[in-house]
Amino acid sequence: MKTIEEINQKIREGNVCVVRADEMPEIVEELGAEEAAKEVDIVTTGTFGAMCSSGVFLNFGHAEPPIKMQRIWLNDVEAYTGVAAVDAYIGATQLSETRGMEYGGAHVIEDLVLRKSVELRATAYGTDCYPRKEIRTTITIEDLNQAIMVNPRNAYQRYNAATNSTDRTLYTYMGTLLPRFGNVTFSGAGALSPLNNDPEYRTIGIGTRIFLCGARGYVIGEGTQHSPKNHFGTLMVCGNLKEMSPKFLDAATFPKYGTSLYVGIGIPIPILDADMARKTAIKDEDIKVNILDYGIASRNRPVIRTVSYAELKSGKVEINGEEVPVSPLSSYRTALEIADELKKWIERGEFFLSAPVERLPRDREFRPMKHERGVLVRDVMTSPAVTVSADANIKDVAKLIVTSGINHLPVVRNGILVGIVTSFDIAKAVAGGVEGSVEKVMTKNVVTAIPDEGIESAARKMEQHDISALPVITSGRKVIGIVTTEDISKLVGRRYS
Amino acid sequence: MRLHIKFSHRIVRNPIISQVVLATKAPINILRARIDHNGGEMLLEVPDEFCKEVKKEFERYGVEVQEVKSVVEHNTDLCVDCGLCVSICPTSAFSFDTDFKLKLHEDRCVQCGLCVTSCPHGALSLVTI
Repeated sequence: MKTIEEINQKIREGNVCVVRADEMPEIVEELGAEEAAKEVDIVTTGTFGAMCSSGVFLNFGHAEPPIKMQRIWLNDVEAYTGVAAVDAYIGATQLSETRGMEYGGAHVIEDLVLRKSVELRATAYGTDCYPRKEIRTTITIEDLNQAIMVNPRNAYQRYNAATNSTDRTLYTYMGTLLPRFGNVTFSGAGALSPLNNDPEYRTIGIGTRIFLCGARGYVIGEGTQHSPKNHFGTLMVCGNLKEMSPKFLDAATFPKYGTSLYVGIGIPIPILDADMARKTAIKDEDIKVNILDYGIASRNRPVIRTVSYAELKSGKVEINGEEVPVSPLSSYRTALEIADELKKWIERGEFFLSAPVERLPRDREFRPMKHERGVLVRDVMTSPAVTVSADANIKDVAKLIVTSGINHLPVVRNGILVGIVTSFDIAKAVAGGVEGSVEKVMTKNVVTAIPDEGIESAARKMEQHDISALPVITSGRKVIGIVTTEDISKLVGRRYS
Repeated sequence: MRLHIKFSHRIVRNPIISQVVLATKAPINILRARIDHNGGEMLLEVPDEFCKEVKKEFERYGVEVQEVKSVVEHNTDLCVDCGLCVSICPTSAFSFDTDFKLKLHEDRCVQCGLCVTSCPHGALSLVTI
């Protein structure tokens, strides 16, 4: 058993033993956990990845005459200013009002760290104590009284990987996902990630001193969405932006998604006893995550399969018997550099460990949002749908269209969807003298909906494919109804009448 | 060796590639082609030993030929070595070295541009030939 004070004494004396987390499995295997705990004092961890839930509190000082800023923009990116007169919080994912996705809050933060000038524009309603209604000026980070990074949710313990089952490319915060399981992307540093090395949060807690983007920072509590029960712990952290380095902080744009901030975090884990030695000997093989299908626009994305970080880092995983290439979103190279840098700080006697003043919760679960159930396809669809058999005669189908007034007919064989014909397809066939079965003129690649799909998703599908009806099918492709743009328009009419 | 060829709209309909292949017996691989009202351009892969002959043959038909050294620019100042491009690239032109640094294999690149639009750090751009 060692105490944090004893470890700090070793740092002062210059004989502390620090190793990187990725070296621990071998050390523990060789010496055993008891001996390893005697040898090793500190294990350094690191991660460098896109952490959208990041931002900075800024204090600008007072203007003459003074202003109580009601709205504020930094390089045309709006910051939140509902906190007193001249304080604002700039969030990483807020987009520029003039440049859109290519520039956002993350870029403002990066520009401040790079000591670049930033244009400040603010408006106000004016009060007796703050009469000014408008201000426009240029500032740099040196002109700010404080620039304190406060990130509500960083350093995810692990994160589910992403893939895409659909026929089109998806643009997500997990990067570009190619159609038909064309690739898999994942985030996090695996066994090098801080929270994986202290999964019971014995040493990482409120007040833990950490490496944050090249500066000293602190854990200030559990992160939002902290979900320790299923090993998805997160941290809320803070640090002084003025001391941070552009090497460990990087603004990014995910195409057609938006901006994010790459944040570098390193946390020293004190090896207090054999248990901590064992915990820090975790390997990528031991850390399992699900690959989720981002093709389903729901918070409950289907799990395609479960994999370990070792498999993800190998660059290839198998899905449905095919080898699929895998990309990280996080930089493992920079994560290693962070763990090394932190190790150097400690060895040079520039960084001391702190014991948490309070432990992080270990029993939380992340719950979904409470809201009224949206309107689903099943609520608006016509059921049962009028369908035609694949061997029906074109002329008979033409008659059916005339008598029923229906424009879209799913084509079925034994109740299973095989195609769709529209009144236009049939009119074209009749005008062109095409004879025979409807199979000849139907569209075989049918865009469909499922009963539990939201109508927003159905509407988006119809818009994307420039069509006006979707057969509603079961998982066995049995047609149980049809939903049309008209059904959805009626609903909107009802809402506003 | 990669050759970039450029031709005017006047000769677009001539089967020049086939004629060059027949004349030189060079196994030419078309990596990329673009044709519009102004004419067209192609990126070709030609074995080194055939390059001189192929170039001469193309020029006989009035096709401009340029040797291509670099096809995609990798800005290592902007790159953070995340590797998102690794799985995006259809020809596996990106990989990690033993230090987890991103490595670009330019000889595999066909200039499709997918990596350029997918890079979150704006670290990749196509070299205009």
